[in-house]
Amino acid sequence: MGGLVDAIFYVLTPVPFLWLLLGVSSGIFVGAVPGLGGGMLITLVMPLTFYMNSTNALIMMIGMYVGAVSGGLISATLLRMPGTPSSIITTFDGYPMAQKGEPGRALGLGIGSSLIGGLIAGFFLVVLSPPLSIWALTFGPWEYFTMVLMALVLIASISQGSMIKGLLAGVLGITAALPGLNESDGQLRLTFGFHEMADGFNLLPVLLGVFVMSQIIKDALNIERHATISGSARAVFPKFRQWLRYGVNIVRSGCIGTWIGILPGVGASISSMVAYGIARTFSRTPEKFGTGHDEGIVASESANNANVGGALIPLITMGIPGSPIDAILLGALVLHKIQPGPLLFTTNAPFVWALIAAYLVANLMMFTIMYFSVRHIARVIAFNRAYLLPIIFVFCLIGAYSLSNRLFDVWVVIGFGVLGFFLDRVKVPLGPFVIGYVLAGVLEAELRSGLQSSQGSFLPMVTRPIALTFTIVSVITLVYPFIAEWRHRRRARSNPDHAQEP
Amino acid sequence: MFRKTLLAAVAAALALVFGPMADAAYPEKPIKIVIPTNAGGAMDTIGRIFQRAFEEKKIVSQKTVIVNLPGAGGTIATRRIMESEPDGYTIGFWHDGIITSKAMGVVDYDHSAFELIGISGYTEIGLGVRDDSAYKTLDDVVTKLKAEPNSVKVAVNIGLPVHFNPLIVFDGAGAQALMVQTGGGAKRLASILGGHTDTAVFAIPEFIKYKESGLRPLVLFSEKANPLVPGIKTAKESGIDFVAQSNRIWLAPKGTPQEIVDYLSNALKTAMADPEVKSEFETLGVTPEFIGPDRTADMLQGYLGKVLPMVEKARALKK
Repeated sequence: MGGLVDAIFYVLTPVPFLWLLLGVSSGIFVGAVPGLGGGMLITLVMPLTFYMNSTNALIMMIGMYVGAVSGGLISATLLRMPGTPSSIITTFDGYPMAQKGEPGRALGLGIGSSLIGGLIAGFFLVVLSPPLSIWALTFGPWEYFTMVLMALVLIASISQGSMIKGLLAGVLGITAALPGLNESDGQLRLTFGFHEMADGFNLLPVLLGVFVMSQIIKDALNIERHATISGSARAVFPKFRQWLRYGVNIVRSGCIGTWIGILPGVGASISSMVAYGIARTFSRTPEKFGTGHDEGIVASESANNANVGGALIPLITMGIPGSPIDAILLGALVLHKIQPGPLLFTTNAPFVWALIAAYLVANLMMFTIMYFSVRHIARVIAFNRAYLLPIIFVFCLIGAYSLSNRLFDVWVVIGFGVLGFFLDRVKVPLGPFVIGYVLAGVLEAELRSGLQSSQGSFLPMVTRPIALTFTIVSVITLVYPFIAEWRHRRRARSNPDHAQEP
Repeated sequence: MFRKTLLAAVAAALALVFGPMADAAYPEKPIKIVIPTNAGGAMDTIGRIFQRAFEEKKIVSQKTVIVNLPGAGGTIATRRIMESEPDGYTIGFWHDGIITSKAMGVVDYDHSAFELIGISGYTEIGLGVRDDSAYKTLDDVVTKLKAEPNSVKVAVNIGLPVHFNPLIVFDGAGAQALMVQTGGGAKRLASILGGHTDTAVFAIPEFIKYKESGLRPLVLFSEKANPLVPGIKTAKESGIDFVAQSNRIWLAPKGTPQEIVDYLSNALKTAMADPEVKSEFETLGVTPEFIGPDRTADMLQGYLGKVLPMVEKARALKK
């Protein structure tokens, strides 16, 4: 715990503080502007941080992450356009409330819940991370293999939209990770004789393509569509006594957000969806949800911010990304020559504590910035993207080139940009793609490492207790939808009226 | 009048720019140093120490530019060096992986496809175990392996020296250890400390840095014992004829003129004699000894001789 206090003091010294401030403010900005997102921002600045102190670089990126998830609520409330996918649910009640003439109250509720949700997750981050990292040190190849397997199954089953499309995205991501020098047998694979392919598709160009270039193409095609804001909004902060009324809802949603964040591979949008659903179920006035009900805003916003903190837990304790943006942060760690994993707490504890401290301070910073400048940010949303896109385009290509000084990487960005654009067009989610891409290497390496040490036997998957637990969860997650479907059909058969229901 | 003055000025400027070019000696433009790792890594740091020394101590009359070309076990960078014009303006360095990459069949060239400039320092390496391991010396491990082949797990990064070196050592002792692909240095450390594997190759700076975390040296591959890790025997002292270290090997494209190679070789040597550079190297745990081109070639040839018989065994690790 002393480490945390030191780290907070470090984050509050001028240099890291300014980087964090820059991160949070730019995060809020991209979060608020529809069409720009946190993943895009973090990927774009990654090459610019190569020459920065790695602690400050990651502190800034965490600020961006927190800012981006929060900024989305502004456009969700005022425009019914979620600035980021994580604030989709906020549009359900935030926008109606704003339409009813209370935009300030809607914003105030959103901003306040974001802060509290974020701090709830922060509490778990501080309390759970150290013991988890010690526990994770006992994880061998089989534990990691089964855990990643579970993560991939989870993505497929709870990703947005259809399970098939989620699976497809995951498989495509894994495919993109296959070519190049294979770490497990030291041989080249799927390079088709091109020397440029010897290193495969690098993480940064792939991310730049999927997150940035695809979005540029999408935005460029809709460049005519402008967002307009009617009237200005000032956050009106509900009284403390009112907050007490939301207490149960906030704590519950915060815990849900944290827990879903911890689950590998599931993003903030799912968190707010689940928290919103549960809040409605437990509400005494469920019919009010969707009409500008304050409980709806509170549930959605506290859960999506809590998700950020929760998702950082597996990232810093095990090196497994808890959400697509964490997959990007994982890449940033590797590019900064920091090996993520349980040992990070032992070999580089001040660094880990600095990230945790940055997360806590970023939430407070986000609250202060949003509370005082929400009016100005609201005006910025209507910003003409035609000025922004060419700059982003150029940065995107320069960033890809600067990684390894190879033109090949620039082509990779363009190729994956086009791929990402078309996937998005046919509603294949890009989150599972990135997770699949990042986890494919881990999955293969751990499996082969495990097989080498067990001399070819798969038995450790069920003989090692932790691995067995993960295996069971994976099997249940995979099989459960089919069982549910089967039971549903059987019930439908025994009750013919029911069968007519859509 | 004005136009005439302008013309004269342009002519003078041109003469200044192109004049010296005609008969100037190497180097007459910036030299690119290709480094096979990201900016910020240990290899990159070495390159930047030289870059600064070359400029500040006026050892090289032109600027040097660092080009980071990471990936594919360093082969992207070494290929770029190999395929560059042999004019001395693109050089670079890598470690002993230049030998093992060809042995593993990843690339079709080794050190002999380059002009060797020399070795700018090296780190001493050896096997390490977890603090509470029952193995106190290499002999303990060998005895165990002889009684029960494959009973000791070695964490390796396949196809690289950290894989070949233990293969050579255990083969030399007539024992068979179980190689387990684990990955780079930090992953091997986690694997050893987590008890998933028994031993792996580390460098002396790592033995010192991770002593508190529970890493203990077992044996060194050095020529002689090192006071930094007191009481640790070398493989040679344990009766195995094998010496290896992790070298920083400087390469120029094949066909680079001898006088240019000499110039660069001298520049490295001069820089390394500088006390500031020396102390920076020592901070990094790198022995600041310069090894000339001829001895470099001998050492690499010798290492190749040890590696080749192991290739079959190394490639067998493919499950």
